[in-house]
Amino acid sequence: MKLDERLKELNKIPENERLKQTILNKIKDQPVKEPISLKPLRELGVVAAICFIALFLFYTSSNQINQAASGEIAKITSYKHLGETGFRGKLSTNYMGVENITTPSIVTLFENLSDLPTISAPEKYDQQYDIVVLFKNGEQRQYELSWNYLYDIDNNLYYPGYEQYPTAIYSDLFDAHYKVQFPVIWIAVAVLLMNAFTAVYYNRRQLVRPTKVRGLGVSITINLTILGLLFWYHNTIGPLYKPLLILFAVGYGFSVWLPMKRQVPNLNILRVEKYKIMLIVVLFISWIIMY
Amino acid sequence: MDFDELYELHFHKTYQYIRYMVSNAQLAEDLTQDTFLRIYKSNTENVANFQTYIRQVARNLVYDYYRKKALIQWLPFKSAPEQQEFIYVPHEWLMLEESRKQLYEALQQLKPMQREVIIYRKIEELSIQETCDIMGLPAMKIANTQRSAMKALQQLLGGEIDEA
Repeated sequence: MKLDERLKELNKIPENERLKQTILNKIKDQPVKEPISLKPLRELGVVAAICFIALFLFYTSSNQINQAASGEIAKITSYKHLGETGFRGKLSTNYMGVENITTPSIVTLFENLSDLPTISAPEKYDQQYDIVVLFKNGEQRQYELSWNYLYDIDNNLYYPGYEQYPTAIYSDLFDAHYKVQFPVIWIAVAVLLMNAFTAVYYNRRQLVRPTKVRGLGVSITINLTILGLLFWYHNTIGPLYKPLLILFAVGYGFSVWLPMKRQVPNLNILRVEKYKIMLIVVLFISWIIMY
Repeated sequence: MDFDELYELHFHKTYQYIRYMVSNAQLAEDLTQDTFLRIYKSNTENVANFQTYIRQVARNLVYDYYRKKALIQWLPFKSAPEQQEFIYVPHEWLMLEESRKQLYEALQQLKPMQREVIIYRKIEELSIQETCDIMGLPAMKIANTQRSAMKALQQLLGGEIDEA
């Protein structure tokens, strides 16, 4: 007899009705509690936790109060200002666009600022650097630096701009702000490539994705609203706080994954979609960190 | 679907699968009971395919048992009851015929995954897609495992039987 046929024979193992009944009775004897579904609460809990962390980061990220300056400089940070509203310098480099410029030439400039001659208020242009100087005794001062002036905001004094300083100062500023960055276009390319790969994978395995995922539209609307609010905040209030953005990126991933998890008919699709979302979130986080 | 209906439909195949996977009557009964107990206590509202679902629960329990067994063997609990010799008890029906017994014993010598593929594909004659859904593996992997399992089985049987 061929092996295949002999194996088929093994499928004819006789049914044991007594065993079947015994096991069924044992199962039926088990106390069954009405399952309390904590799923909606759990998901609500995750969203609430994200919101609370976001609020915590938002309210604890403000700078220290300005005081009179004296002593040695501990840290100098700069924000390249391109015509947005108000002074945007921050002491922490955790803000988007804020760079540490504590180099010897810049430290010397701000330590010996009183040696520079004061000038009358010049014409201001869109491009300038908003600088925050932290002294070792914890005091902070704010400055605006442009090619034609250096404005001491706290004392309302104008000094000559970087055009008249040694070239090292401008090159330090330039190097800090024009470092190699992770190009945002790669995120779009990665998303397109991922979609292409997953489409091929689904085709090869003959998996059918649900045409409509309920809740995904709401989630995308919420995410786009948050994105709009971030743009508004960046344009009208100040630089964005990186940990908060990372939290939003994680929140985005969670909010897209959740409706997908509820609707997909196949675990393989869920796994592929999960990896896709994770990769997008990781790319966003890398971009935010490197910005 | 009602639990009683599910139980009626799937009990025998589930028990048979577990019996071939663990080759111990008492353990197979316990694992079958655990499988249906989990299903009895779980929320099956969103289950699309009960056959796949029940098989996956049974499969998880069997693999949990293998993992536990491997861990216990590794841990130095020489006197623990878990360290007792595994009692190999083939089904009485298998013992009735010599060739059936021989085939069953060869099957027990295969790796668990090979044995599983043989059970699904050759004994129960499930389709590649059904096997993929239960095992969560790509079709290519199933096909390769099936090929290697058949080869190993043939070698264990002394190469005297032709594969169809």
